Amino acid sequence: MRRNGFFSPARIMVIAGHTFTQLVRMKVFYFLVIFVALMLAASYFEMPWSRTAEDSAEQELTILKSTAMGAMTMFSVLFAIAATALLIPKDLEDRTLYTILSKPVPRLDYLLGKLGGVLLLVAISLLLMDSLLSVILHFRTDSLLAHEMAVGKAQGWPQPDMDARAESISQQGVTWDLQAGIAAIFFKAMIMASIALLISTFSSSTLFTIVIAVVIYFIGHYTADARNYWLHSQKDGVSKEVKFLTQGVALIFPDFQLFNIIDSTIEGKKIAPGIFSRLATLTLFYSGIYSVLAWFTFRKKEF
Amino acid sequence: MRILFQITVIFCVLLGFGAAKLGCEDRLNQDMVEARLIQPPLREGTSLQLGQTGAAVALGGLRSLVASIWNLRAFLHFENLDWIKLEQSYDIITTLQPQTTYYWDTGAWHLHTNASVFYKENKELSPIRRSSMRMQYIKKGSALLEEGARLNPDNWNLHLALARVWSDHHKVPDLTRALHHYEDTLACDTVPGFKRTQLEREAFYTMTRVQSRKSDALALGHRLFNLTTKNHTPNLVCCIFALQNSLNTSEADRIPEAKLFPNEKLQLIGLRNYFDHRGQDYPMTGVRTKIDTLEKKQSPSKDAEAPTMR
Amino acid sequence: MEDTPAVQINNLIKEFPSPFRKSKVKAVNDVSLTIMPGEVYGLIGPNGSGKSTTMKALLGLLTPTAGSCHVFGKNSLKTDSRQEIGFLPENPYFYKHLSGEETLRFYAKLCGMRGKEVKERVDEMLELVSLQDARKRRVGAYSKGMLQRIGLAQALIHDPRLLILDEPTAGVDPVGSREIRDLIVDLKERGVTIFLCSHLLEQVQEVCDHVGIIFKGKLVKEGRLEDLIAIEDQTEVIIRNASDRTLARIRAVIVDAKESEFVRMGKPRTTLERLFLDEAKKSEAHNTAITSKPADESAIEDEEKGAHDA
Repeated sequence: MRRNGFFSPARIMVIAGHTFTQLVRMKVFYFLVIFVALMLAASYFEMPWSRTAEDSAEQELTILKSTAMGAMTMFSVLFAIAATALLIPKDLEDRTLYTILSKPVPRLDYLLGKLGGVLLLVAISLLLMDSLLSVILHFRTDSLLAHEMAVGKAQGWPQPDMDARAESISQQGVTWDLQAGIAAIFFKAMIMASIALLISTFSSSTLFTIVIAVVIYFIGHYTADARNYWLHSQKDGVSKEVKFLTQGVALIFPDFQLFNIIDSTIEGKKIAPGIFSRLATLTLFYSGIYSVLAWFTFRKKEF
Repeated sequence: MRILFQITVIFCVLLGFGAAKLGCEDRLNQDMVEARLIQPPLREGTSLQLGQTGAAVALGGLRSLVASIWNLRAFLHFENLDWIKLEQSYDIITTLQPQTTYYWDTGAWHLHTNASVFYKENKELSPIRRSSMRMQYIKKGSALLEEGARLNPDNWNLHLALARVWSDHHKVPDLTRALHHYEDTLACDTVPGFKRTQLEREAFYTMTRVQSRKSDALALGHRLFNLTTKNHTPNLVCCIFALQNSLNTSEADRIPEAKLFPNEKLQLIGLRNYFDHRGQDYPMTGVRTKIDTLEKKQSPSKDAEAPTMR
Repeated sequence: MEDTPAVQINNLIKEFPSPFRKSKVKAVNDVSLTIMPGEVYGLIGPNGSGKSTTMKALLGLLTPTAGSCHVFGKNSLKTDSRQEIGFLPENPYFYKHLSGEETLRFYAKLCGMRGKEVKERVDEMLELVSLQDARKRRVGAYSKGMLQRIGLAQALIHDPRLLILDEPTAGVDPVGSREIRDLIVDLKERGVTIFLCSHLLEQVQEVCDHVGIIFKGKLVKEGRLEDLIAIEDQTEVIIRNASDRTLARIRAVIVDAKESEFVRMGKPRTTLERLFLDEAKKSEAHNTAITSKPADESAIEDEEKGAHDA
């Protein structure tokens, strides 16, 4: 029975499935209940409309999406960091790590399995939240659409205008672009989980890992400015240290501002498939690099 | 020793990977900015740079959520008539979500309508104070919209909101200013086709109220009238009627009355309604006279009242 | 018959950097030992002597500073070597959220087992360690003895040829401890090589056929148990139901033989452990007798017979 290749997808799935179960049984899904309550409250809350707003229907949908997706981002990123940060220290503390590594389990499989389990849970949670959002959004869009069409008919709008209005409202509803935005939330969580995994191979403290990961998350939002400053700025009267610092930031940290397309999808903008696929590829590269570096540290770690 | 070695290797790999991805990320960033999917990096020297960057970036992807929650608080300030806190809230909200029209619009509305009316009718203040506070809040609302329009130059909604603030006869109209905002609105590429005609009409109405722009107004009116029958609204035709009278337009250049008004019954109704706006600087030359003439003609059927049209 | 040793440790040295002293701490200092297939080897020594470090080096959890460890000919640093090893750590702890059955299935799958094979093996192991009744219960609710047993089960799940046990009976009650030792003997009979460490020297004496004594990282004594602990020049004879006359005659024979010396004659003592187990068995049988039908005479006879045999 010799199945001990360097990398075994089957074994990774076993560990991922186990990690998933472990996290689920930590009652993390209770957060989803809070999310559901928040969502339902947000959808029924009547916002005051300014009398000058021309597109209040679209704006209402935007606010709904904004609340929901903001909550989804917060949950995904925080959970990805915290769950990954606690996994290895917990195994170490409980000595369950010994029982696993004393089996013919390559260390890479172990790491990828842990990461996979966290991402599986984040993905499923996002899917559930997405389903709820889609249902609420769908009904809201339909009711707003019906209302606007009735108004249009009463005011005698011509059909092309009615169609244009319908199109404009529908674009704020459940669209593939919105799903792209939710996928972008997942990408962000994926990168953060990989970073947390890397840090946790160095540090045996969950808290330390979480703090550093959160700091990196924030710095990652400055990366675009740093890069822009380095590549496109004309300023010369700047000290060497500042230049060095901005270059360092631009190179080392991921650029999280690219994921601000989440906000664009909330606004109802269309995402070109080309841009989405490039973002996905970039995410895979980031996660890949961080995972490989995590393995590099972990492979020689002594217990 | 080992840890040091590992950290060094990791740094080197990250730097190497960073160099490799730098161009790729930059291009993706530029493409996204071009597609208006993300905000362009703030220009150096922008006065708001520090405030915007600090707050907006620091909260990362949570901006939309925080803005939503703050919006709920702002509503509570509105209910409590706490205008100062409300203004502060919308400063924060619009910093977090500068691309969301709703926040600029609603915040401005609270200021230029709700707050200004509150002060206008506040018996506890002296008349001078009331008037000045009212004006102050109209200006605050306008300023907020202007900032929003500056950050979102393609957003026709915000330009339109400004135009309506300054053309609103319930406030303190500045018609030249309003007209300028209408022009900005119509200059936006993003105005939907079906909206454009309506907005042109609105611009026309405002132009008619500006004494120095009467000839321009008439030219615009003629263009709109000839463009589509959708533009043959009672207000438009009455404006043209009055302008033609006011400017003594020659018969050759006029649109004949018979063409402006389908029949005399409707003409009378339209002109009567139009005449009700006489306190709002609309041209009224020959309107009263025409109403009198038509009334005399139709005096046997004076009792038959048609529903008023606006 | 295999010539490849189950365990081959050659000049193993493991150093740990010490934060306070310049020189490093040698946890294991030039240890060499060989365990042939089918042997039961006990490594004994005080706390901090290097037992656990040696085991961990064998399991690939540590990298030797110098020297090598091989398991059935494969280097312990390679993942493949662990296919043959089952390991039970000291004070084992398993995932609380899993049941006993789920725990075994997890480990079985980690070892590359699939489908029906997993189910069969899990059932077999649960029966072997007598945990069928607790298979659906969460491991978090297991007692110490049960944890030790499930630990053994997971160590054996993939039918390893080498079993490494770190303090297998530490903290376990005498009944549980007995069961574990019986299991070790049973495994030995099946041909499994066993490498264990323990502080409980009497138990090591009972099950091991080879022993190594490690002290401050050095293997100070090693060899077959019988050879090590036999007091070479003495012989023990145990007799049942001997009359005084017979004893006197035996004593006389010994005294007559010039080369031998009479040392001691008297009643041998049972151990406290045996006494405890006897009482435990008796009490269990008594409880069974009360709860079942009226006791047979034969049942009581069996009890007494059992007490004598122990």
